[in-house]
Amino acid sequence: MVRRILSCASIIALLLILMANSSSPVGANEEPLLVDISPQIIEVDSGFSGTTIILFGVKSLPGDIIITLRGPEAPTMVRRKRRVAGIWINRDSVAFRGVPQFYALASSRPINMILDTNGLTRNQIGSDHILLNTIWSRTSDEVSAFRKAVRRARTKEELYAPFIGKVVIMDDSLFRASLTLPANLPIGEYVAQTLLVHDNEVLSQRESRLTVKKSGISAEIYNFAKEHGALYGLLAIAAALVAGWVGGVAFRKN
Amino acid sequence: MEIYLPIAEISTNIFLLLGLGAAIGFLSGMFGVGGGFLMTPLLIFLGVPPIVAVGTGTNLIVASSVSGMMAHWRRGNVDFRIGALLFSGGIGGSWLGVWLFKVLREAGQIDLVISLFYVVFLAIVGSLMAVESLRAALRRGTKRRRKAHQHNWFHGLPLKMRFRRSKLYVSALPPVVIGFLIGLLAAFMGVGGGFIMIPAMIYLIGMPTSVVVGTSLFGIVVVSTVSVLAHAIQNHNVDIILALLLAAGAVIGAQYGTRFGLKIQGEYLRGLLAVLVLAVGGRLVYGLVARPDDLFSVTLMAAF
Repeated sequence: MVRRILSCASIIALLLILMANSSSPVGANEEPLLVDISPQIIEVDSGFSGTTIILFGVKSLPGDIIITLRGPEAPTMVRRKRRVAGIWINRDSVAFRGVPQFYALASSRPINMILDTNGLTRNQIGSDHILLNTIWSRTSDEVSAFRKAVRRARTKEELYAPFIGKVVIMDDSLFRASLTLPANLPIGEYVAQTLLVHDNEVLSQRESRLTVKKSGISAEIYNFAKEHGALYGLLAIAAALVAGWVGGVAFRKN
Repeated sequence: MEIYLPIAEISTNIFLLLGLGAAIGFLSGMFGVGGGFLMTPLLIFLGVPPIVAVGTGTNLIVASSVSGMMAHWRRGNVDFRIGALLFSGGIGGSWLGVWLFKVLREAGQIDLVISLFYVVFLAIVGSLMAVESLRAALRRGTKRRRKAHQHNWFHGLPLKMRFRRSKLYVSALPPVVIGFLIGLLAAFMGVGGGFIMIPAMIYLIGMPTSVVVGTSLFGIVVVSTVSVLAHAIQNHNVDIILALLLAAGAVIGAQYGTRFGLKIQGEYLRGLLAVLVLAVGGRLVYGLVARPDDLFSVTLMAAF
């Protein structure tokens, strides 16, 4: 509740600043688009069940707003099973560079009414238009099937969402979008890109950063296990020995 | 109530895990087996990555075997000389196993290998038990006497040692080799390996039955301890939260399983277990043979 009030207060404060800026007489430093995101850091703990972030800003030119949120990019391997002696075995593989683990979209109108296919592709808008460059491929077939597999797998896990929120424009200058993010949100750095589009032309764009990090006991366990494997192993063994011993003692009377 | 498992990286219902632990504990108490060979496949069916299921399984076995081992230790039923030989073989086996595990994981084949190991192993164990319990049920009453101590080619091996606790003078090689194999199995399957160790001790080494169970429990505890350590260092796949939840359920389940097991006749019990083992194996075979929903799988690569 307190956090909510705080974030509302910060939004209002920022909007006041933005409005003051936009209503000032036209000058050389006038920006057609100003954006902020709240919160800028999302902490994922063991009880995390998804969250909502708010992206808001002001534009000084007429046009539509498209927001894409894409995040932690990582080299990604796609393997394809083939039937060998009756069993399905991973055989072909393709590695892609810098694949976003999450991709979501919000816009003031349906995107194909704002930009044509060419514009969507050029600006990588929509999960079908994310660039997937190969590092190497070990397959005799088309790589396109492997590209499709990335999109299919991520869409199935609801990590590539075609549309997660509507951008509401007020008075043709203020805009606001609340983006609902899922419980399985990957950990890492995200970029929210806001585009101002008019007549099939991108007039201005802004990038805002968002960090998703693990917090709480589960994050500490995870980091400890990765960084101090031997110590973690000893701890796991000690815990198991104590648990087994306590269990044995507790039930010996019966 | 959902709980997030930090290493498996999935959210699961806490009561489902306690219940699964209790069910495995119940079965292991009832049948007198470790239960690791049922736990790993069931965790995989639940959505735990096979790699984490194996690493966590080895940790669970430490918890579920230690109280039994201590009970036998107090009664003096552990032959520590043979135990030490099992241990030395086990260290080699489990480090080699965990290293191979890592290599296969990086090649993207580990899930397949775990499944294949389990299929072969459950099929063998299940059918042996089914045949044996059927025979026993048919032949009830006409018991055949077996010689207390049989001599076979194992007794011609060099490097003989005296084992006072087991009243034996045999080669030191078989316990080391058995320990090595158990270490490999523990690393690959997350099982304790009692089902192999006990028959091998009785029939190959010729140990007296009184010390077999205690010594094999000792071997299981030390070999799975080494495997946990090796997995934690090389594969980071031991989920401590998952292991403790399952162990809590298993400890309680085992108490009821033991009581229930006493009420049923041995051969029916083994027959039931055989059916269970074959069913789990069958489910794994289905997973290998059935056409997957999606032929493609997407995984993140380590830093490139």
